[in-house]
Amino acid sequence: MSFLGTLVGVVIPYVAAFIFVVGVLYRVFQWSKCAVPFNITTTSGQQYSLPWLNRTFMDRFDSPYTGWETAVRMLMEVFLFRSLWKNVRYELPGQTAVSTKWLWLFGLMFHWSLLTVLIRHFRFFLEPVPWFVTAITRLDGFIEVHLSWFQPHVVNIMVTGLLLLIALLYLLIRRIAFPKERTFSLPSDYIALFLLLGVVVTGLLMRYVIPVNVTEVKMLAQGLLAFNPPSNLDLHWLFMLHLLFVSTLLAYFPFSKLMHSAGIFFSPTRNMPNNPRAKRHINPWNYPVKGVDWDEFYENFKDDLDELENMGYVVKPEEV
Amino acid sequence: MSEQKFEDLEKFEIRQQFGNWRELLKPTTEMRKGYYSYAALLRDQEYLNLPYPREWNTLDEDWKLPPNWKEIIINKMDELRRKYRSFQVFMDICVRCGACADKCHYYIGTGDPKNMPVVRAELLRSIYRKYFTKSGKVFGEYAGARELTEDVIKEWFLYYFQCSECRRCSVFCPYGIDTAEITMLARELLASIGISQRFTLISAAACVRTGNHLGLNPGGVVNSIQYAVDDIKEITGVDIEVPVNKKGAEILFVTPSGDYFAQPHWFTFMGYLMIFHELGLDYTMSTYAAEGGNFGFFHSFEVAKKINQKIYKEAKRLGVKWILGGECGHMWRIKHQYMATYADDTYDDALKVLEEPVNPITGTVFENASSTKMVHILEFLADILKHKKLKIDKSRNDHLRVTHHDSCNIARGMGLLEEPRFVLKSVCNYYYDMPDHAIREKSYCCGSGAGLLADELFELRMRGGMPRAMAVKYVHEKYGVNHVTAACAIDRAAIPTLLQYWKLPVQMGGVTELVANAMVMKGESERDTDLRGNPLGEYLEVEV
Amino acid sequence: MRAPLIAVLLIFIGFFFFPYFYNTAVGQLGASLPELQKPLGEQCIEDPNWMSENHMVLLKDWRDNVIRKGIRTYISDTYGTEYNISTYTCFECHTSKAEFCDKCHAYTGVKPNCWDCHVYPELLEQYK
Repeated sequence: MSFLGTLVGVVIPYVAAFIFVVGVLYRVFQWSKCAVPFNITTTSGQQYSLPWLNRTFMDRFDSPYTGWETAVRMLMEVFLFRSLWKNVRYELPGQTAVSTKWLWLFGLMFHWSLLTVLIRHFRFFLEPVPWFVTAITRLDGFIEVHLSWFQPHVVNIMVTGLLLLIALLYLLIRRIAFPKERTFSLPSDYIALFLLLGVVVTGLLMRYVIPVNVTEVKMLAQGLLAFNPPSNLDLHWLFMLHLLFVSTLLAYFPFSKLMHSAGIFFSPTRNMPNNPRAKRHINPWNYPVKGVDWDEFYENFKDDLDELENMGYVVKPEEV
Repeated sequence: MSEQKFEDLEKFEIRQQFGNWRELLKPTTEMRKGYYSYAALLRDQEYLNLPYPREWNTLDEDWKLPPNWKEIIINKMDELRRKYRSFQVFMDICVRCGACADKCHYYIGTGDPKNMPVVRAELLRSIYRKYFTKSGKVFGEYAGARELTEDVIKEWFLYYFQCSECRRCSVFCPYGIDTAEITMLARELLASIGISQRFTLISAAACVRTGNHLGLNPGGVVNSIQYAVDDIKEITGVDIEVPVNKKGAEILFVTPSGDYFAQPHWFTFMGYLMIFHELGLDYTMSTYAAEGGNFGFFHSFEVAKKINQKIYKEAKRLGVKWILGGECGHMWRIKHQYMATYADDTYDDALKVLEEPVNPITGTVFENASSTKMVHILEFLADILKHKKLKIDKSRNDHLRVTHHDSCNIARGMGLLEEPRFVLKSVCNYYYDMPDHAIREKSYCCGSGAGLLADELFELRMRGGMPRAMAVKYVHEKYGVNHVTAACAIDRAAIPTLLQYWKLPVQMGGVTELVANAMVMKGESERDTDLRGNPLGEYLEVEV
Repeated sequence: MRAPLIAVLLIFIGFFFFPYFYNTAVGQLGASLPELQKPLGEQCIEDPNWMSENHMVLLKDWRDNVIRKGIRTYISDTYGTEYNISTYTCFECHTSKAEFCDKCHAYTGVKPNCWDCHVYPELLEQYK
């Protein structure tokens, strides 16, 4: 392989993967080391109190009382974006809020597509390729289309690849076109989107426009995995570009907001049950603070309190 | 429909401002009337032993910060990020999706982008990035980081006292990022260099000294109860006795001190006393723990703990079996999520006398309060009403069309949503919910929580309360609602003003008031008015 | 509060290191492209490297040409030779699906739908 090929195909991926693994573990352990002083669940549904009170099925997970209910709440956040599902938009002229699910839709579309695409990429990393990877790929590509202006033949469209692009474009456009979103978007928000777009666009180009030799790609992946990178490959420039985007994204990951993927599991408003009155939460760094105790209070208000004693500690209506 | 009313309200306009990230990184220090809080009084700072006590003024150029203030802030931040996982995680994982942006009632009402929860957090996050993250150190403002300057401190004081810690944004955030938590920590940081808000500190200092936020001496509390029993006798003809500081009672009753004094609270207070009398409850009130709320919670961990300890101490001293809490918002956020955690030995000490709460009238065990031993009055009343232990004449509330305002803290910090509705439906014939986006966990704040009830923040409060007022207006126009209930003392202080400002002919009160209204007492005289003196029967026209 | 840490570590290690563990477990870590059966003839219809990357396009071309346009002749770009468009032309040199086609397809996880309709050498052998 050429010098550039070795750099982009071997050195950079190794460095990026190293930064990714060490960085993510470092961040995760750092979070884990922080104390959780209080149980600050955000309750989004009826609490468990009197057993006969109307508590809907979803209330159990929006305001979980037990451990498994909390786990289901977390799973719903991670896999279904439950909180985002509730999104509303406030309309000033009508002074009302209406349900809006676009962000939920495109957000969910992006994340599920990304997961499917990642699983599809397992075909390069796993040998032999297991049945579920092939099955997901077939399912994903069950649509065959023929667009004569684009391709002379019928091709299988990988739905998630295109959804990924559509969702990313929406997420980008909303930051540019919507005034509120434009106001608070930082450069780092765009960087993450551009890196992902780079990965997705080069990937789609390889699939639909400029095919590359996938056996070589797999040989590279297998060699990297075994810490024995092959030296005889002639990798396509487009694949190199794809790999470069992926490596950059991996190395950028631990320092960026992309850590939300791990962080959501640590969010104390979501991962704790709403039972602090039934089970006392202990603050590990709690320390005593001196207040005014009864004796001091009594000294300060002796006259008032003695008079109350004379009344027999009871207040009665005045005799008219 | 609403635009017309807007014109009536003099000069009311929501100026929606948009900008970009560079503008947001520049600190806003313009102190506009109605939006900035007054500086704490020296006497309160000294009384509470706060660091760097001094006289200073928000409008002054020089806030007389301690010489090494920057170092203190950075060190405190480092300490807090280790002490609060919420802080570090919330600083790190926000993706700025914007789901929270128009959930904040202050943003809706002011149009100021720095009132979007994401940007409010960003005010602190930009500093965190600069001093605690690699990317912020290397890339500076391109990573959204900025230098800590005195202007940043002023901006914090301005905007972290424009957040009522209502947690509405946290419900919608896909990661549960809770701006209330961020605001609390930012206030903790400010407190570490001697910057506190006047209103919270007056109340907190009063509470430490006298046992209640209003600063009533024990004699004042007793007098207040005296007036209440006199009023009750006048209206119902029933003689009731209220035990105060009575040792050996079964239940200690604790309620926010606003109930002893302030206007619409008063009827709720009478309500408690009438119901306890009618049930023959063995309870006592206390002059030492005469306050359920805790304004220290809006200042710092230490002041909150100072105030919080009284209830368990008093429970132990009086030897009660469990504690019943009145209608209050932030009080219940604390009682539910913080109380037993704050308390160290005082809790263990109190456990010597406290037992798992059991309703003496119905025998119901309050399993969900088995550790803290503290039961919400609405849980208690729901249980009582379910077992039909009170004689209720619903028609006594027929002059009212009732709606319920879910107070932020008990809706999103506790999950008490069905109890008030069950209670209200058991005692009123006409109950209507506000639209879905304004109730339950999506409830809008009254605009005055977390120390923002201060007079100097009037404009902010009225703007922040706009979504709530508009939801009330909707049910008023649709169903003729003329009475809003809320189980929160701050609401009872804030909402009447709010309704007046928005020119809504609706009155406001606690939930228990309506229960007492409808309750038929043993030996009562003929009733032709409710507790407020309004005639029964005819639909009540409330004056604007 | 260790539960989130454990959950994240399990997911992270499970996902990121899954290929390494999986390949080690089934004994194929670092597996290179398996040896293909050597075809019988002198040369393929086009350059072999080009064929390995583009045979699917060529086969689709053939299919469309035969079915849509009735064209049965293919002229090699590389060598200028004429060939009859038919899978049997392939089978003349590539005598085994299992030993030739499937090797690469299995390696890269590709499931072509050719054999849903067409016969392949092994099947022909069976019904001879």
